[in-house]
Amino acid sequence: MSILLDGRTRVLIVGASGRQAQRHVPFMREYGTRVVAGVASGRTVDFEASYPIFDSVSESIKAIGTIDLAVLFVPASRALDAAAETLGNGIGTTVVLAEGVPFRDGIEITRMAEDFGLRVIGPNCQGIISPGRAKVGASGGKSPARMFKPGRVGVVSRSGGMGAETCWLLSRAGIGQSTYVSIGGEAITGSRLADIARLFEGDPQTDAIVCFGEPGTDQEEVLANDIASGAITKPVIAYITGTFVEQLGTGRSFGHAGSMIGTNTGSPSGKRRLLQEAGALVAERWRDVPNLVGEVVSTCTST
Amino acid sequence: MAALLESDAKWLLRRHGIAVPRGMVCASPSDVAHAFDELKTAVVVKALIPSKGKQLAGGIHFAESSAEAVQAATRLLGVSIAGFKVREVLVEIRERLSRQIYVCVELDFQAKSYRLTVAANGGAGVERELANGVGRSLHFYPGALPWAYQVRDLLVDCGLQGEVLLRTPEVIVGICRAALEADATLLEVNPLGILEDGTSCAIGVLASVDESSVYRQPDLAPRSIPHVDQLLRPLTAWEAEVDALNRSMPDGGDIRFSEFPDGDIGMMVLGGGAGLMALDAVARGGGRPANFLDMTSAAGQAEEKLYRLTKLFLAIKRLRGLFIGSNIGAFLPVPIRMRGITRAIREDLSTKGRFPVVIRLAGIGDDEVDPIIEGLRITYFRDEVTLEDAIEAFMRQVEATA
Repeated sequence: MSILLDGRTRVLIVGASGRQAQRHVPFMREYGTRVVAGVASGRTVDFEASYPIFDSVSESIKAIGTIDLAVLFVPASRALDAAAETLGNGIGTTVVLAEGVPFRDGIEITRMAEDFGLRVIGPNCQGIISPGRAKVGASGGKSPARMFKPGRVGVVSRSGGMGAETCWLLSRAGIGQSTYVSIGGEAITGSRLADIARLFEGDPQTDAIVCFGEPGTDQEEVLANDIASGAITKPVIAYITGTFVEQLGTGRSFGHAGSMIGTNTGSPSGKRRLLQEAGALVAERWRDVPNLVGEVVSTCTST
Repeated sequence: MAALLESDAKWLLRRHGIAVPRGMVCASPSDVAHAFDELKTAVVVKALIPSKGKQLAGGIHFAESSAEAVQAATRLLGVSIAGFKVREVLVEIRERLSRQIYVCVELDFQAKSYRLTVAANGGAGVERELANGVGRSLHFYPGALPWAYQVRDLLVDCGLQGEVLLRTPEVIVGICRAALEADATLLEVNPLGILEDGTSCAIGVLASVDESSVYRQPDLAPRSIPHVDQLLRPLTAWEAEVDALNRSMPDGGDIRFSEFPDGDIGMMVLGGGAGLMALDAVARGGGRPANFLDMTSAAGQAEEKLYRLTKLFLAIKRLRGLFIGSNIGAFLPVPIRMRGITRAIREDLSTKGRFPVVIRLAGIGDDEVDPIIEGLRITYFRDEVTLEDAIEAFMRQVEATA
């Protein structure tokens, strides 16, 4: 089944007339994503697409029925309002692609999602791809098959590019992916590593979980806790980058706003240690990830 | 995150109706003399530097006469404190305080909310107090400032009683409002002084603001000092050049760049996660990275941006090698990137043969790269190798050249 997204998921494009949507939505549809409608407020007169376009989320729901997932192609300055709209209209999953969403807005978005009991992925994420079925966002561009292969390993990453490349590494080794979720590099993020890991835990078509982590935040620490407590029982294979920046000390961020090491959490060595103690396999080198997966996945299938 | 000078942090509070000591920003000793004449009372002279939260050691002087004030300013101006050159000082009235309270509003990333912390005895040494757990906190969200009564509850919990509870809570709510509206990541008032008449005055103020919000803070934008808050020091010359490159790009530029002054391996790896991994791979190979870099390329300017960026790297004399890489690209065609990069390499005479250049760029159009790199002494990889493998090969070349 994969998680969050497959060929049957009814997808809404928010910000349909923007450059990003115009580039990526055709690739998404070619890949198999079921795009049922798009929102381009105020542009319905002059903007045409090969799928129905509306002025608002509520108009689109009225016209075409249930929407399962909304992907926001809007710029950072409009992300909050767009998320408020999709959440307010009860859409189950909202994927916020924009980079540079202010912290204050990120806090509002995540709070709203919690209040409504709905899911937000991102901001500043690459999207989601269930190989062979569907994708939302930019993963793989025109040729996702170059990087992504259908299979039974779930991949979750704080880095969009490295998560995709991890899928490529796995595919090269003959290990396919059930779903790859890019959760984004922000310090305030809608779904954290552990949230996605729990979804993989509940997916009968995922046998193991691969996680690409970074310095900063306490996401890997929380994941380690979930493994230790038994909330996650499937094998977890993790690679945590940031050994070099760790020795530079605390208080600095690199690239992602979320990568800042704090005083008590956030150090890559701490994350690795906690994950290992909890029972996860932690790769020394990123290229060892497929080998480690091979160790546990073959164990699974042989029983 | 961007830092504000104390004078601008106080301007922010004044804008929200919170009293601050009357004062002036002075750039010279004669400015200071003039300020003292205006203020006509004992003053505090404070060095204006972006500070990440520590009280300025040696950056504050008290003066009871014009001569003392001028002397203090002369001692401070032009001097370096915590790596920053003091260009201006703040001269303000020294208020007589009956009490000093600690107030801090900051982003709590783990709780995904804002956190207000108060403590009964602010001023110098409050950090130790806070570490001992005397502070009291509450969390709040953008849609809902704390009620004054909730702040009063915190103050009571800190052991405060009596008159201070009358008006201070509202002032503290005002500080919360100022923090929210300015998109502050940190707004610390230490101390919030209680004057003898019971009113309050923000005596010491530190603020950092979210750089992603600059577009909606037109008044704050010119006052915010970018990146400094995370670098803890002024921009190096190389960082300043990259900053200038950013500012000159029509899209505002999005290159995030930090120099490691004691490193000599140039890293142009696009993508935050890839960049971090590349640093690790270089270090494992015995190298010392000279920098971290991350950028998103808008297709329209990618070639020009990469050309100018590569030129900046080639101009850094201490570098022993340059590695250029990225995640396997799904959109921006590789030839566009390579044209920008190779144009800089061809133009550069000083590094010809001087050091290894290894490029690992894979993605759309990577089969069209050969004519672009014709005749250049560089090593080019597509996705036949991983980023880590490419860096290992690069480090072997660097060692061989040494």
